Amino acid sequence: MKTIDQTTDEILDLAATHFKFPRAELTPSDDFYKKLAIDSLQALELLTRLENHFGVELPDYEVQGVSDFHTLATRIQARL
Amino acid sequence: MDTSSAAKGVRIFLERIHGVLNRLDTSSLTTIAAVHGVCFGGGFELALVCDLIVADKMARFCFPELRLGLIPGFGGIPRLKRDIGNGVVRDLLLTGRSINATKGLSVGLVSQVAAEGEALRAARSTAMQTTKFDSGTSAAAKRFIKPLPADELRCEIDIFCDLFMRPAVMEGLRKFVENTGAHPYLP
Repeated sequence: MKTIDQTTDEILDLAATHFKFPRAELTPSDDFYKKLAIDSLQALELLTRLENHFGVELPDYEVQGVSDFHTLATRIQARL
Repeated sequence: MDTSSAAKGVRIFLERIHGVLNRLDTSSLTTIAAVHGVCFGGGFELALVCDLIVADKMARFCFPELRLGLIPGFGGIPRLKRDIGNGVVRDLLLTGRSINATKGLSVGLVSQVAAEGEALRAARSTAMQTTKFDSGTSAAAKRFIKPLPADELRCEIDIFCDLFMRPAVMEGLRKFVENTGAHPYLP
């Protein structure tokens, strides 16, 4: 079973790769909408990539209002 | 525009859309939806008209209409009910959440999941396969297994038109237009 830190790291890795952002500049407390400058469609893309990567189903309303990577990780962790 | 004229206009619009989608639905040809990315609302209803849905792994499906105080109005509910379990239909409608292609495959909505960007290729490959059978036989099989839910489609139009006249719709539309959040399709 992954730890929350492992899950958070994987999310940061995935976000950096997909949105072509320097991994070293992403931190768990970052607001990913502002940091990655993503819109609602890209947010859905990110959700899909996370679901596919972790093999989980994450209802959109569970991430509504979530804007930092760490909180996102806790939502995913709860589904692992 | 007065309420009565608006209601009449909405009904005429819906009946025109239904006419087109019903013809596609009952076409003697085998139809395949190749889906990538966001397939929400009317787009989802168009995909449901087809005999098969091939989605790439980045596809997402959703009926967000309830957040506007409406139900899907282009035949989505009767067609989704035709294809998958009622429990999943209720989940999608009553929560307004989106599901990915893998979930779609598991509930029988999606026939195949392709790699990112490969849905059209997979759909064409599938289409080629369907051409190997006698067209008359395929058409007969399709008529048998995929009846048009005509009564429910008409009922959906009635319900949509009734809901459209409620203040909740204008309020829902106003909220959607003013929403600057990351999930405008959620209430």
